Amino acid sequence: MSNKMLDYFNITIVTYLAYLPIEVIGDVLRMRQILTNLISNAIKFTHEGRVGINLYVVSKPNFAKAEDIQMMTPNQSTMSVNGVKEEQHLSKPQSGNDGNLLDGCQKHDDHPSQNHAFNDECGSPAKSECSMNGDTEEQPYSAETTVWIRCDVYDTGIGIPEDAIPTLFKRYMQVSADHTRKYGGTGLGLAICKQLVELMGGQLTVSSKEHYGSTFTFILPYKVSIACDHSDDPDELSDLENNDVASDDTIESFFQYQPHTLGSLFSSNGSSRTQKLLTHKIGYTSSHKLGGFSESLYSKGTCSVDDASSVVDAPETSELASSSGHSLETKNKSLVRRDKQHQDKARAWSFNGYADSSEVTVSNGEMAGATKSSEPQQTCQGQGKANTTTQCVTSSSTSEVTKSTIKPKILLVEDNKINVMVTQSMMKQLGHSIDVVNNGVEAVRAVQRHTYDLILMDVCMPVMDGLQETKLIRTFEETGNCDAARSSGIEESLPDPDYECYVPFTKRVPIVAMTANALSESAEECFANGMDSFVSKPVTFQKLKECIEQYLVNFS
Amino acid sequence: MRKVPMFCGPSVPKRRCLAQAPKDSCSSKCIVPCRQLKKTMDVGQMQRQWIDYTKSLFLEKGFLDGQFLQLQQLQDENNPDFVVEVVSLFFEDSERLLKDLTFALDQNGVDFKKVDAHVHQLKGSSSSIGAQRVKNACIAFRNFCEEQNTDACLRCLQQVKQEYCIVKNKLETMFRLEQQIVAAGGSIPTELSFIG
Repeated sequence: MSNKMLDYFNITIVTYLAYLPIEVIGDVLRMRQILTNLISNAIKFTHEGRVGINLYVVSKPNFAKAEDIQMMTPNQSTMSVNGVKEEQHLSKPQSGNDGNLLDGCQKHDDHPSQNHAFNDECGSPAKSECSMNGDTEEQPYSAETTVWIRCDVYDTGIGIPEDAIPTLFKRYMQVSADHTRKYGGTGLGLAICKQLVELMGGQLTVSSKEHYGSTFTFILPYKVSIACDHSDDPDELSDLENNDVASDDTIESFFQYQPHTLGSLFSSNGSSRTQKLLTHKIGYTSSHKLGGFSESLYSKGTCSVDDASSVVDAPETSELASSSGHSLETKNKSLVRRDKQHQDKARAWSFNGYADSSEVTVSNGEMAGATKSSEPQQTCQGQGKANTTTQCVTSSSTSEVTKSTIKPKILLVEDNKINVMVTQSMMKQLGHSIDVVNNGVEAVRAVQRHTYDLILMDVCMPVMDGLQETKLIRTFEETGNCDAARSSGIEESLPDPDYECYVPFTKRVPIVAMTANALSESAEECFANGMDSFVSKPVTFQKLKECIEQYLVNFS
Repeated sequence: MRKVPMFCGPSVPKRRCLAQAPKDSCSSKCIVPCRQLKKTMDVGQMQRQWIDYTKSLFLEKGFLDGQFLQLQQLQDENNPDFVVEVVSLFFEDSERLLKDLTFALDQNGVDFKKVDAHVHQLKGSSSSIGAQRVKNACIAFRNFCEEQNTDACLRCLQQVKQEYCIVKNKLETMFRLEQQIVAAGGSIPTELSFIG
């Protein structure tokens, strides 16, 4: 499946990471959320071309200068999520240092809302809470060395019309109703990202040109890590297996905050994920035996971790970082090991699932190879599609995601033999071969058996009405997801609205109605029943061509 | 020289075409060159005739509509007999439907739903191949099915059958023309751009 997904996107993922010879501390959970959302959006709205991530160190931006010292900072109680091995200590310059910065950025403790805490308290370090490791929190923001890092997530996608930009970050706003229909999503992703970035003392902006692409930029302050655990121990690697994350201190502090923070951003009863997090964390502190613990972490609510190839299913079945992260880690583990052997100074850290403070797994050896190498660390930030993209790239060792050569799977649901013959012939001329079923029941069966990229459905058919049929398929698409999610231990009712937009394309097949009655009333009915569009009969070559161009954009 | 245009088609009385010389083409109204002239009539002429004939099917009586052009465009080297195949399938299917319709309307308790379903099918297929008049007759037919008016339905059925027969005839003639062109070494013109 991942290969298929990869092929869907004529997209190259590129990254540019400026060299940053220091280690910084940030809030990994939130960073991940933001990056995941932005990258997913980029991929979602880009039909071909590139999605890129650039990271630079910048000087203190104006908006920050103007602000109060009370400004929120990601308070990291030192969570240099050093944890064990994986740490690419930025202070150690290495070839292909790209990972460094990323590491800095990504290594965060899961102090969700330390930020929140701060904010609420008008910026004054919430002493009680921040007393974590008795660390740095106490110190006023300005006294710490702060580094401002800017991250651009850019794409060569459909762009955003100028008039949509002012409301882009508002909740529930999507560019247009048509947009919603075509791309799905809740309209919450950007609003949440903006909120998160601002809470962390940064700024999220966008620049876009319709039809050319967009760039979302966020600039955040990060504290420079004071104590670095620069261990180069080979046995770090052995611990890779264990999802371990931070040192004692950080874990403890993490505990204190967990309940407050996650709750505020999610729904009041918290996501089930939150619960799991808490559970895990509690267990975590009690023993430093990360090894044993991490296994349990792994086992909860994730898809198979062991089998890298099964990663393929992870993004589909669950929209959680955990599963994809775990899967990714599995894959990266092997890469890491390999690289370690090849490079003395090779560093790698694992990108773990949601449940733990995350670390990004990057294999430096890979990074040597330009674009592709940086992909693992970057794309693994993203969920779902992004992850599988990474997976495929690293495993196939190709430097770029190439244009799709896979033929789209098209299903024609039509009972009239002549219509079938004519439509099939037209599709053939357009270069596509199609599967044909003669009624709704067969159509449902076909959809269960294969994933189709497009369904052409006659609306007046015996046995099962085309509209009913569509409703059935839509329901199936949803339950199909849930079932899979359930089987992987993840509750499907996660109230995590910002992840909704990560439902892979493949799950919602475009269904085009073929109707002899193309009056507006029946068109409305088609849409109401879950159809994406309609083609009026008799079907002509031109109509089919337009349909294909609209719904099968990712195929050459 | 010829005063009276001679129609040599199958549906008209067979008369000898009086064109005497090879350069003498039959009048444009002469549908099918007589056997006597077949050898002297060049491919170009046949093709022109074919065009004229086909044109008439579209423009004069509206037997065929633009959809038929779609079918012709689907015919190419990879699919050289597409039109004939589709149309043959249409003939088969239609005849079956007409038989079923006759049967259904002959019942004591007419099942209008069934009748409507058949007509719907026929309407669909005739529409798909561009048999415009058949399609229109089916549309009228369906209205009466809705009204559950047996007599009106029977009349409609008659109408549909008639239209069907005519278009079948026309198409078969056209195919014959085509066969002759091909037999004489020519190819069927693909440009029928008179229909927008």
